[in-house]
Amino acid sequence: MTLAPRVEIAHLTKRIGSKAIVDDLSFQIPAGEVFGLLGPNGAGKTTTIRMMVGLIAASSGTVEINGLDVAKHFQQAMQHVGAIVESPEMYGFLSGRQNLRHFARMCQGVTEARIEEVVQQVGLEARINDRVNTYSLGMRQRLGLAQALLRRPDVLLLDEPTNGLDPAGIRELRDYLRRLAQSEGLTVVVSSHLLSEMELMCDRVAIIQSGKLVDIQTMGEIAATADGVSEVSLDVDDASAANAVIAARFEGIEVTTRDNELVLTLSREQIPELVAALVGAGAKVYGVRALKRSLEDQFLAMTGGRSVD
Amino acid sequence: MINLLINENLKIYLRSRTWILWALLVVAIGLVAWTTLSSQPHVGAWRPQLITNVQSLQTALTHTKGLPRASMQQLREQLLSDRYDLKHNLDPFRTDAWKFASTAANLDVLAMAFILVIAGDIVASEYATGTIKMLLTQTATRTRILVSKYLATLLFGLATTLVLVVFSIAIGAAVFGVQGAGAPTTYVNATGQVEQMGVIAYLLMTYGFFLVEMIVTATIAFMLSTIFRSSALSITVAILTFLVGSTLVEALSRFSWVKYILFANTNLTQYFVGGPRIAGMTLGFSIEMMIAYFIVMLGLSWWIFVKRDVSYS
Repeated sequence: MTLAPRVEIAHLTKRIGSKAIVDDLSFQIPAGEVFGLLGPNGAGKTTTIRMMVGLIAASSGTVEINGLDVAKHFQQAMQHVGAIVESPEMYGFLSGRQNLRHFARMCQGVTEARIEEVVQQVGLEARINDRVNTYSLGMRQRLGLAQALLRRPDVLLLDEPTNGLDPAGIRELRDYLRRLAQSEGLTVVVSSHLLSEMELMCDRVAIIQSGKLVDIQTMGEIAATADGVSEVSLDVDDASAANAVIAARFEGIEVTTRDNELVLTLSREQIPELVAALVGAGAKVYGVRALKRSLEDQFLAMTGGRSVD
Repeated sequence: MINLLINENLKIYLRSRTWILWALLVVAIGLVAWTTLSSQPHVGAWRPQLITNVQSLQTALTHTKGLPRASMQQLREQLLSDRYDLKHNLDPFRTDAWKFASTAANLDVLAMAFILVIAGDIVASEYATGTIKMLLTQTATRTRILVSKYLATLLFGLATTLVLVVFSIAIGAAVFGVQGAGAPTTYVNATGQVEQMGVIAYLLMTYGFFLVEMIVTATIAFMLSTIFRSSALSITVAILTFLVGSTLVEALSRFSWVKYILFANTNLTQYFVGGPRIAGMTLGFSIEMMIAYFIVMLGLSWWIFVKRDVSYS
């Protein structure tokens, strides 16, 4: 899509005292993309999301939704946003439907039919008239999602949406969000410290550490790193003979040997060269495999191996 | 704005707590009716009863030493009004619905406590349950949300006052019957003279001034609710302030600066019944003081609610 970005964040900064909780963040998100904010706890993800929905005032910088500044045109900008910040807390003494009506009254153009529609969309028809007090966490999550979808938003903001969900619930939520993004062109922004989760859910992930943007990764390109170096695994008949060939041809390359599998790191162009050399030396090569490095490895490498909980 | 007000009202009246508080208020009115009924002298025996009362009051006033000034004042007023009743042949024990309603008006303290529960909870509970995040991420501005909460608080105060008035009259009518609305009430006015007033007029005056006091006191609780973000803390502090405030003013009444304390001014009845608590205070002064406090408290609530970041809960 070449349209204007749905979400545009420019030099967003939050300072508390002299400490910058979020430090000069800038990124843009187009329509139909699932965008992740990834970082260890305390990296500033939640603060960023809260600034995007006006719960926290930015010290400097702007958040624009469909070109509308959230700080200056709160009402108009929020008409395009649905959000769940942290857990989806609702009024426990009201029924699910009463909760949805409550939030529907707060914005323009949400009809009773629309409420019915989102209830069906999140699959809560059976329990919608029960008090929220009696809901399980998964059901509350669905109700929270229904609330966020009420005004047909262009942008869905979910802070730690998988917190407290069981694996089945996580999977369901993930599929549902992907479907919304693909079929309805919804822009979804999720934050998480669960790396594996983000890999499965997102198109792009912004890695944040200590309030700073470290990198933005497109999930499809995850295997190739910035300088085009990849890790390659070779399946050969004689590991020691192959090792000798490699040592002679590619000086100084580190090789890890496991049975008949060799693992080494080299540039893309070197791979056919290596195979030709091995075959030329009479070694049998059964397989060449580029090892996908998971986001986690990259994340750890990028953030200096800091512990991620 | 109307929608926001509907929301806030629903959140008050769809909770069982609200109805329990009102039920307690009605039970309290019933108890007052029961006590009043059991302390009534036999029909026609009111004169000897009143003469005994006057005698014991006189004894108390001349022989008791070290009573607080306020208690002495109360005894003296009771004596004045009993003597007035004897002289004008008025039966002070004769109770009907209207008279009972003005007795039950003493339950306004209880009604106020209940109003403070709701007022102290209305903003804080949103923070406590985390629903504040949902509430503030819709399209309504914070100012509108706060205004709707404040109006809902005042409406609840009005409704609770109505519950007290309506049920006192109804229970009074059921227990004592209605004997004509013109029956006078005797009271000691601001200059120490005993006066009569129609009972309905007296009732209207009492509740009119109660509503003024209710608005100011509920505003304190509302402000505390926005500042503390904790229901328990703001309700406790509001009720304590309300109960201790007037006692404190009483205790410190010999200092003239006490008149600048809000609670010296909230009860406007003092300018019509019994006289001002602190010499030199006027009705106009009290109204000015209340308006000043009112503006500061609402301004502070607004500023804090609109400006404060909703950070980690």
